[in-house]
Amino acid sequence: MALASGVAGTLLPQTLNGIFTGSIYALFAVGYTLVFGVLDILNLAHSAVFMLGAVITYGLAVTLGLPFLLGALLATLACAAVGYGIDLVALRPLRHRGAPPISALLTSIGLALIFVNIAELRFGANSRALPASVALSGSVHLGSLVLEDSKIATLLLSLALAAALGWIVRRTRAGRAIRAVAENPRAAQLMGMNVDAVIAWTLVLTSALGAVAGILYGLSQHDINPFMGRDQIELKGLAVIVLGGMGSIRGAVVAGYLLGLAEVAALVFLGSNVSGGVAFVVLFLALVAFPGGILRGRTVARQV
Amino acid sequence: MALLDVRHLAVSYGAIEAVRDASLAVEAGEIVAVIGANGAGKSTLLSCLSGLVRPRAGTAVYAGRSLAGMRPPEIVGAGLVQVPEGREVFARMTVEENLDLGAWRRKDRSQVAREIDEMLQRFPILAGRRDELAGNLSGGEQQILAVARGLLAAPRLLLLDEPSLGLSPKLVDQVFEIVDGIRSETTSVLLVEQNALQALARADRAYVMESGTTTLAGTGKELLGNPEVRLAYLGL
Ligand SMILES: Nc1ncnc2c1ncn2[C@@H]1O[C@H](COP(=O)(O)OP(=O)(O)OP(=O)(O)O)[C@@H](O)[C@H]1O
Ligand SMILES: [Mg+2]
Repeated sequence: MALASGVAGTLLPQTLNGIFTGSIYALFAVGYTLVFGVLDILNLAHSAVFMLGAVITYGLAVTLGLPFLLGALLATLACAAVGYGIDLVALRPLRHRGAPPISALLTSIGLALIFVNIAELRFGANSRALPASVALSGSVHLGSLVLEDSKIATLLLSLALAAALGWIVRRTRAGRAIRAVAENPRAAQLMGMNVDAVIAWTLVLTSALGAVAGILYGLSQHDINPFMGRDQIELKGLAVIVLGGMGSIRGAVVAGYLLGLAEVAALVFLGSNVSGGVAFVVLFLALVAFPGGILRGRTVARQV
Repeated sequence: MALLDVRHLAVSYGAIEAVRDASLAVEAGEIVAVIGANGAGKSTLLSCLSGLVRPRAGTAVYAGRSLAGMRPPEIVGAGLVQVPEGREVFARMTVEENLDLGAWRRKDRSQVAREIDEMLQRFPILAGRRDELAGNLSGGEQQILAVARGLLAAPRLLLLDEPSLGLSPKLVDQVFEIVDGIRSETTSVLLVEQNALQALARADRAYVMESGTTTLAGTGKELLGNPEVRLAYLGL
């Protein structure tokens, strides 16, 4: 009896935890998958941008003492600029040469390593948390349930941003350009579209979202360090976009929450040493059982 | 001065000399045809004019400006618009979205909206399929959509790359009628075709392209009567 009520007692907060982390996975993955949908390449620097968002926010808000929201906003803008740089340095030259996608994979890994090294130099290798005085540190009590403000903010903001991205891609002129380039870059050029600009802006947009995901992660998990992209999100992001169907924004959102929930389920029922491997299992199952993603066919070019 | 004046143009893909020596001109209001066998370099010539590939040698002057320094967006903006071989419609977008993308460079959005309506009226095959995905249209319908999409760019010179390719005879006639209808004082057409008979019959002037070189030129009628052309391209 005691055991049963113990499990039931942790089930609700753990489920909520799964939803919170899932929403971060989702926000990270929507940008990751959009770049894949447009360029057919995995931008492996995306997880480094996730890290930069959190680390730069820490630097601005704690080291320089700026207000947290201002720091987070500036960090997001900085990462958007980094996104532009990623295209300019790692992707565009290869694209113009007609290099195979594997080359861009390698250059983006290279950039990721450089970003991690720079962060390590400036920030040190230790994990830090934003001090309670800096960021949202309150909480809401619902009966016995405690909801931290940072997690509520995480949930709402990631849902809103993922929805906004979907709306941009489906409904706006910029989104139409993104879909056109995703489907047929040559034809898009013949329409007079500046394909390089469309791709650069896609990187800007998705990097900003990746940064916000990193900031929210740092905020709600109290764990900011130069390796958080590599250790906390890289594999999970990959599992999510494969499960969601490469290029599918909605798929990435659904799969992000599924992974978050699967991890807490593993934690509650199988223990903490198992939950870390869930992303591997999900990735494996997704590749074997849902090679086209759980929402088959909803890639960027067809978000209609 | 000609609207388009191409002299001794050469384009290579690495070691492959796709266009060796192409010279041609299009005057305002003309339909000019380029005929030639598979691999003669016709599509490469058009790609070069659209700024997708750079020439190795030669000049191309459009509306008094050298195309050499212009990038594809500028070229389209200046009214030099290509309807590519194989249609290349955006299959996962609707007919309306495709037409709207044709007008990508235009700022006069309300006029564009009106022209989209007109275009749907003008081509009955597209009317009522506004919200259909372009990929669900038949090949012939896609070709007409591709031409309509090109027209929405408000071209002064429309480059048409084999618009009759793979179409039923009835649709071929329809496409050539559309080409005839496009030509006006403000819109000229450079038509690349393997269907030499129809192309020469409709064209004011025409060129023959062989292995990357423009070898013969004349009015459509002259080339139709030329024994070499009749033998090589008309099978007569
Ligand atoms: N992207 C490319 N890379 C390398 N070679 C190419 C490329 N495009 C065309 N070629 C080569 O250039 C030559 C001319 O091709 P092009 O497509 O211009 O001919 P075409 O006259 O349009 O032929 P078709 O009537 O079959 O469309 C061919 O030998 C072709 O193989
Ligand atoms: Mg061709």
